[in-house]
This record gives sequence, C-alpha cells and structure tokens, in this order.
Amino acid sequence: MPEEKNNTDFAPLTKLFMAITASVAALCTINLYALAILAGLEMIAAAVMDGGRVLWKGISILAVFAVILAGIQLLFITPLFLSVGSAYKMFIMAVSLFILVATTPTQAITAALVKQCRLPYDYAFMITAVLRFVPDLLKESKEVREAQSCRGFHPSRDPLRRIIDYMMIIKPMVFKAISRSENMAISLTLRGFSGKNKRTFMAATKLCGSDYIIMLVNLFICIAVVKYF
Amino acid sequence: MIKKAIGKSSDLRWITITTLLLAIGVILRIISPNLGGISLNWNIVMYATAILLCRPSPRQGLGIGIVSGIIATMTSKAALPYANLISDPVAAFICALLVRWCVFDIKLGRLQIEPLVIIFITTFISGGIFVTLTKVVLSLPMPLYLYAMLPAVLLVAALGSAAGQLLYFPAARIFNNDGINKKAFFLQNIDLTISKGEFFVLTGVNGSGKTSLLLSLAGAKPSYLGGFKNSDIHIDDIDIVKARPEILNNQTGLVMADYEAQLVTETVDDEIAFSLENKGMLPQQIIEKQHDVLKKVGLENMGGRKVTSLSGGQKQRLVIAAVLAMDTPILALDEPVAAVDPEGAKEIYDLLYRLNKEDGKTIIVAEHDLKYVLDIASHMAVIDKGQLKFSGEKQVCLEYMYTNKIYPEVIPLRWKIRREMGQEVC
Amino acid sequence: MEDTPGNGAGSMLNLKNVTFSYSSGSKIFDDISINIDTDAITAVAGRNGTGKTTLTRLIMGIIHPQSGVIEFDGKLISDKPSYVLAKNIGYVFQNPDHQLFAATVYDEAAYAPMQLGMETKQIRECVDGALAATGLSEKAHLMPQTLSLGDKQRLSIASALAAKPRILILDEPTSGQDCRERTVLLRLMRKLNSTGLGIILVTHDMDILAEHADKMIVLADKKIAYAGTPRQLFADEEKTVKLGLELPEAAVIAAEMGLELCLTPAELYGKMAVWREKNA
Repeated sequence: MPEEKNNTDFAPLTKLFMAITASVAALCTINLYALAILAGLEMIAAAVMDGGRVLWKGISILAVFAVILAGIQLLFITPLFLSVGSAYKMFIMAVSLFILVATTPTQAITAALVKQCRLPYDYAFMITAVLRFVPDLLKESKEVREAQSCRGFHPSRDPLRRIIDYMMIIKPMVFKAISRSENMAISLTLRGFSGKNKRTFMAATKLCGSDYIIMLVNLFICIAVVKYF
Repeated sequence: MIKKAIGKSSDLRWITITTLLLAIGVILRIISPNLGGISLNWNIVMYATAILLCRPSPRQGLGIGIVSGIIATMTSKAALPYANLISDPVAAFICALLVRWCVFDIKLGRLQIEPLVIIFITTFISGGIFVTLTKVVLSLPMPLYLYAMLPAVLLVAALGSAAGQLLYFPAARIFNNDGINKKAFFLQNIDLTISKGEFFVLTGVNGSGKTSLLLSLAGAKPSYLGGFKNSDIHIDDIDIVKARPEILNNQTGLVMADYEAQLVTETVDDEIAFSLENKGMLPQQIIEKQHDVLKKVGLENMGGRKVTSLSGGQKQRLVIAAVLAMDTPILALDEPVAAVDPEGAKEIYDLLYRLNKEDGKTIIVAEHDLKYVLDIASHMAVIDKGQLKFSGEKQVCLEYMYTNKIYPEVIPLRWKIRREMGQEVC
Repeated sequence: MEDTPGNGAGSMLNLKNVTFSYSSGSKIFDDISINIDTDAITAVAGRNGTGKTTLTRLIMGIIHPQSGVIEFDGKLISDKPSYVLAKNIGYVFQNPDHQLFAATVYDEAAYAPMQLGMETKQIRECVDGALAATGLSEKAHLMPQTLSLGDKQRLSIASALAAKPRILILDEPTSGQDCRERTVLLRLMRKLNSTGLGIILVTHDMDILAEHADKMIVLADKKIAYAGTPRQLFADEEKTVKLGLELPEAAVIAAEMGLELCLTPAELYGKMAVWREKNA
C-alpha cells in the first residue's frame, strides 16, 4: 500500500470495496495462515488510514471479543483450529467494516451509496439523519430519566420488572419523536427534499488512480485467498 | 381549499418517523437494561412500529430494512455485523407485506393484537436469520445454536413484541392526532395583505392558528389543518390561497418553533448545503453561500462543527442561516424567542432587524412577547380561534386589541403607558 | 412583598459550603452557602451558564455535591437520590413532554404517589386534590399528549403535587406559553404558596420575578452573588446590570418617567396617578 496516502485520499467506495473483499476472502478460507496474513494486512491498512485513537480502541475491543468467541467454542468442544479460525473470521470482518466507518464521514459514505451503489437517496438520507439525531436523543433520554426519577422512578432489581419500568423512559421519547416527525417532514418538504431537480453531492466520492490500484490489489488478494487456500 | 395546495408533508412522514424511531432504537440498544446479557433488539421494535404506523409499501419496507441493517452494521459490535444487512431487510420487507395485507388485524376479545404478532414475527425472522448466518459463517457448534442462540431469539422476540404492543396504541393515537382535534381545523376570514419589506408580527393565544397560518404561507400544510374558508391572502402580490406550494416554498423561508427538527445533517456546513444540494446548485456556489450565510448569522468559522455540539441559540441561528441560503424574499419565524433568555432574544431580534433593513427581507414573526418587537415591527395582526381579527399598522392593531379586549394580555406595558401618558414619556 | 410572608412554620433548606463540578468541566459552584426559607417564593436568577438549574438539581438530589451538605429541616438530604426526595420535593421541568407517558391524565398524576407506596385510598385523595388544584379535574380521562401546552405544564405540576411535597421547584415554567396561560400558571403558583407550599422558581423573566418572588438568589462566578428581596436588588441598577440581569419593564419605564422604583405594573399605575395629581 502506498505510504504517502492518508484517509482523505481514498474514496469511500474504495474503502467499502476493501471491507467487502477482506470479508469475502476471510469467509472463503479456513487456512489459519491465510487468515493471519489477512488480519495482518488489515492492521497495516488501519495504520495507513490513520483513524486515530477511536479506531485502535475499537479494534482492541474486537480483538478481546474474538478471543472470547474462541473460548466459548472451545467450551463446546470444537476443535482448536476451527475455534481460532472463526475468531479470526469474526475479527477480520468486523475490523474491515470498522475501519470504513471510523475513517469516513457518513455524508461521504451515503453519497457513495447513492451515486455509485444506486441506493435511492431517501434511504441514504435516513442513514445520515439517524446518526445526526443519536447524540441529541441520548441527551434527551438522560433528561427523561431525571424527570421520571423526580417522581419516584427508580429501576427495580428484578430484571424483567426493569424492562417494564423502562417503558417510562421509552414512551415519552417515542411520543415526542412522533410529534416531531411531522415538523421534520414539513421542513424537508420546504427544503426541496422531494423536488425533481437533480441533486448535487458536496461530499467527495470521485475515484482517482490510487483508488483503482488499491481496488485491484484487494481484488487480487481476495481471489488469491479464495483460490489457493 | 382543495387538495392540490397540500404541501406533501405527509408523503415524507414515513421517512421522518422511521428516522427518529431508529435513532431511538440505536440509543436504547446502548442504554436499556438487559436480561442476563441478552439485550432487546430495539432497532427491530422501532422499525416495526414505524411500519405499523405509516403502513408503507413493501418496497419502502425493504428500504427501511436496508437502512436499519446499515445502521446496525455501523453501530453494533456483534460477531458478524454483516448479518444485519441481510436479516433486517428481509424482516422489514415481510413486516411491510403483513401490515399491508392486514393479515393479523385481528382481535382477542377487545384487545387488538396486530402489533404483538407483527413485531414477534419480524423480530423472530430477523433474529433467526442473524443467528443462523452467524452459526454457518463462523461454523459455531450446533448445541450452542440450538440451545442458546435460538432460544435467545425467541425470548427477545417475546419481549420485543410485548414492548411494541404497549407502545403502539398510544403512539398511533398521537400519530393520527386522535382526540386533539375531533373536527378538522379551518382558518377562516383571513383577509391579509403583507407588502414587501414589512416587519410583520402575528399574535394570538396558543392554538389560535398562528402556526397553521405561517406554515400555509410557506406552502406547507400541517395534517390537522382542514384548509382556508372565506380567505384572501396576498403577500408581495402572491395569492397564497391559490398559488402552488412549490411557488410558496421559493417565496418564504420558515424557521419553526421546534427548530431542532429542521436540522437533519451531521455538520454545520452540510446543513447549509442540504437544501442547496436538493436544488441541484453547483458545489462552488454552495461553498460561497455557506460562507455568506454563516457570517450573516454570526456562526463564521463554525462550518466544520457537529450540529449536536451547538447550543440551542446557535442551532436556531443555523436554521436561520440554512433558510437564508435559499434566498427567499420572505422569512417567517414561529415564536423565535420562546426558549431563549432575554439576552438571546435581543440578539435574535437584532439579527432580524438587520435582515429587514439591510437585506430588504420581508419578516413575518408569530410572537407572544411583544416587548422586543414593539419598536421594530411595522405591521401587526391578531388571530383568534382560527379567524383573523385585525390586520394593519402596528399602532392601529394594538389600539384595536386594547379597546376590543382581543388578547389584551399580550399588549406591552410600555405601549399602554404611552397611550395613557403620551408617546414621549417613555 | 417586603419581607417573608408565610405561616412562620420556619422549615428551612440549607446549603452549607457546597462545591460542585460536572465530571467533564470546571467548577460550577465553589463553596456556596445559603438558607432558603421554604414558606416563600424564592426565585433563582443569573446569566446563562451560571448554574441556575444545577442549583435546583442539587437540591432535588439529581446530582450530588463534591463537598458540603444540603439539609432540609435539619436533616441531611444531599446524600439521598431524587426518587427518595420526591416525597418532600417536587420538580417541574421546563419541558412537560419529557415525562408524560401514561394513558390518562389521572394515571399520570397517580404515578408518583403509587411509586412512593401510598395506599389506594390515599392515592385517590392525593390525585383528586392535585387535579382539582390545577384545574384539570374535568380532563382526568384525557390522554396527556392531547392537552394544550398550558394544560400539560399544569399536569406536570399536578403529578408533582400528588406526592404531597413541601417544596415545589419550577424550572422556567412559563417558557413557550402564551400570555393567558402564563397568567393562569402564575396565579396557580401563588395559590399553592399561600397553602404553605414552598416554591423555588428558576426564571430569566424579571417581570415575573419582580411581581411574584418574595426572595431572590442571583448566581454569578460560581458564587451566590445576591440573596435578598427583589426590591433591594432592583433599586441598585448598576449592580443588577453587573449581574447580567435587566430591570423589570415597570422599573425601566418608571425610571424613564422620573418616578421612584416600581416593580409591577400595578405599582407603576399607582405612582403615575399620584404624579398626575401633583402635576395637574
């Protein structure tokens, strides 16, 4: 992989392609060496893309998770190489995707999905909008929780009861979301969301030479793994 | 008014409901309590509820499933994240089909159990596909699959359907505006003319129709509004009652009272770009516009900030900026200072005053707190129970309200003192 | 208005050397002490970000001080969580939509007393009383979400009242309401106070504060910058402005007309009549 590249230089489609080829390759082999090499290549890719601390923290969580998965399988008397193999697979697939998500703005991912993968814009819009509202609603859920605790709400020790009690938090949030959805729909209409004009996308999705090279390299690795291992 | 002038907000409702409910689903997966390590798959409960509420076509259902799958793939750290890309679309598609065909629109005694059954099936299909794929792909042992994973799916489906059953009925009542207005609400005898460059204030108690009127001016009709009766509205020579919604859209930019619902993108720059991208404006022009409007509202150099990191006042400014970017000659604001402190209120009105005087925008504001606008507004109207009581020059309107006791509580003290003691005393 | 009214029962809310900061940031309060007379209407004011809501959240036990104590009637409360304090203190949030969840207005109001373990008969009494006090008895069977904003706000007051608290905290209760609803709400607040319920009112509306508060606390720079009657503060315009507050409209107009300090429109009209007689 060329050294001078950083995350802004790869098009989102390229990263998507990398994630898919890595996953397909991992899926199609049970050879532990091949899997180890794939995982190694992914680590290099992660280093090159420079996703910062978030990326590495996520990868380490996934690594722990993979070890646990292997442990569970050993408990069920699965052969060692199979257990390690599926832990590798899980790790490779999850990391490939995580690299994409951690190093690419959602606006760029959705632009790529619409322009290059032909996803209708309505759905791409929903993806970015969901992610935009998550932090706000998280804050709101805290406020609702506080408001309810001031009326004597406190989670019960009984786990089943806890879930039922939790409706106290969920209901106000869902009700508010439903009332809000009308304002949001009106606002979208006013902002030309369903207009007939051809839409512009500000996010960069264009592929350049290096993107094609990376994709070819990936395809090559993927085919090699599928064919020879 | 006939159907044609309906700004098709209801057509987009399935999008906005699904969006907001899925966002709630994402956070519930993080924060909700779990049962011995098994947490409820709230995403599925949420999109199934959205599908039950909006009853979209199976094709739209499939799309909702794809969205949920991608979101789950991006946010969850499951053993096999890709499995969501298959399980959610299939489940959502079947859910939409079942809801369309009303297969389970049945009653058990007096209890309607459609949500219970639909959400159970949807969750079971989605969860079943998910664990089966995980089992096959990661070649997990059969006993683990049969005695741990599948029962877990059943449990999750049972809990999810119970939660959905509790949520759906009140949600549906709110969705259908049940009990809020038994009869359709009409705006009547609205004889209103607003000329270019006016600073116009609309007042009236909550529920009198201010918001409905503002929305109609901008070419959007809320679902509870029946329409206009015996009305004649002209703004800057445009016949509001007769004009097509698209024309009104291009004429009036609207800042709602619930302005947070208007912000739909991740960053400040994206938010300004959103409406311009929809129009198909060239990227270079969009960048120029972003710079211009952010400067105008005092958010310069904040283009890269996340929308969520802004304060309430900044969010409101951002909405104003996004509306300004659309270059409408008229700017309408619904209770812009309801949720801000006095300092913030003065800043907002300073901004509106400048936009009115320097940029020549026609400003229309629905407002309860006339203290701030008393010396800025040129014209005023008061609306009561869906009827326009008076419209005209500010002084004349206030005098009318004072003498006829039409919403007299809103009249600023200063105006009353001036009326009694002469204009020059204060 | 001048001094503390009330029945002299003399219960007190005491904050002693309270220091608080959120885990993420710098200090909000640095060693503050204050006695709040819980028979009065006490307003909390100050610039944005000075911690008005933080103060009431500390009292309610939603958050807890890093050092210092809060006592109610001489008993330590700052170590108790809010769901325990709900018996004594009611908290009405700015946005009523954050708590409405029940199928009917009645059930909504019945939640707190149920949660506090009251008996069925007692619950019924408390809820009926709370709904009657807030004028919602006729709407008991309606769905909370279908109410007007003013009704919703009064319902959240009713659901706090049903727990029979001794103090009621109102956080910007008039925000988003029209002038008519505002008048109704403020009248309700005074009525509740006259029956012995202590009110802590967070507000940035100086007109409301001047007309209705017996005492006021102004927060600035992590400290309590002023505690006393509104009249005393507003008499000192320089200090008022320095604390980031504005004078009430009546006071501004009175000053422009060359009259003495007026806090309310009624007072202004009274002084004007005298002035007119003199000049006639």
